[in-house]
Amino acid sequence: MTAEQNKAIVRRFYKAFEANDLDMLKELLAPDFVAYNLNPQNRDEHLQGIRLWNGTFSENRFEIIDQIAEGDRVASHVILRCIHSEAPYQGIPPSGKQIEGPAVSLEQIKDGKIVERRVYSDRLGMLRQLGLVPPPQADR
Amino acid sequence: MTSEQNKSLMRRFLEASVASDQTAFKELLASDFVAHLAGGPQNRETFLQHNNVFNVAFIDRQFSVRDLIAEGDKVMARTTWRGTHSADFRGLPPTGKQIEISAFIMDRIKDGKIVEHWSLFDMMSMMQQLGLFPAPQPAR
Repeated sequence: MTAEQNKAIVRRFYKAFEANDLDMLKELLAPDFVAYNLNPQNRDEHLQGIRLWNGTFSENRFEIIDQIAEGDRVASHVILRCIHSEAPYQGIPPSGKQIEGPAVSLEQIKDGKIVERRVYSDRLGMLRQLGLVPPPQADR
Repeated sequence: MTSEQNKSLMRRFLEASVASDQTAFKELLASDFVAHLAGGPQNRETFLQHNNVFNVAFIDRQFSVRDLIAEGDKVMARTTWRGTHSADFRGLPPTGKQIEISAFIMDRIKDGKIVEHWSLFDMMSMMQQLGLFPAPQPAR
């Protein structure tokens, strides 16, 4: 796989996430996939997490600002936009608020499938937009 | 500049950040440097002031590089940032706590200098470790 092919696989992943296309997502993730989120997740757990997210937030859009690839790894810098409209999130009832925040993901690709993901999003910024955390002072 | 040279520039930048090495910063950052931070864009001077807020409040600072990916004029580093809270931070008196958070850093390099910089520090985890934010969130 070339770097460009690997980037395209990650873009397909984000498109399938937006569409909540769990069959496509499953196809893009290797059977021995691991996501290093707060806790490591296997493929089924990661898909379950995405299903839960899409059942809480609607109109998820991942704007891919930049992608850097080297060897079997791809780094993507994205802006996530979504609407908290469907279900409570961490005790906050759906408010119809649109939230927006940066995220970075790092994927490792093997034989055309994603074998590993590490994701960090601006969780604090998103919770602030939902009204759960007081406004910022001096974030870095 | 090759990818290897750009990676080495990123490592020097991370070292300068934790050492608060103003001489190294002047060498590494272009005069028209822009940092895209959560609070908005910063120029070289305001970025250095911002960096200093953390360097004043934390001692024994360290960046451990977990992944380094370079392509074209860009480098991305996945790091772990550590520091010990030893002085007032956003009104919080020193707790002596050792903080460890993940941070993604991305730089664009031109003519041997960093012209653009993006970063995502897991500020929510920092706040939780400092006791400024309640219980850890469940994994999603």
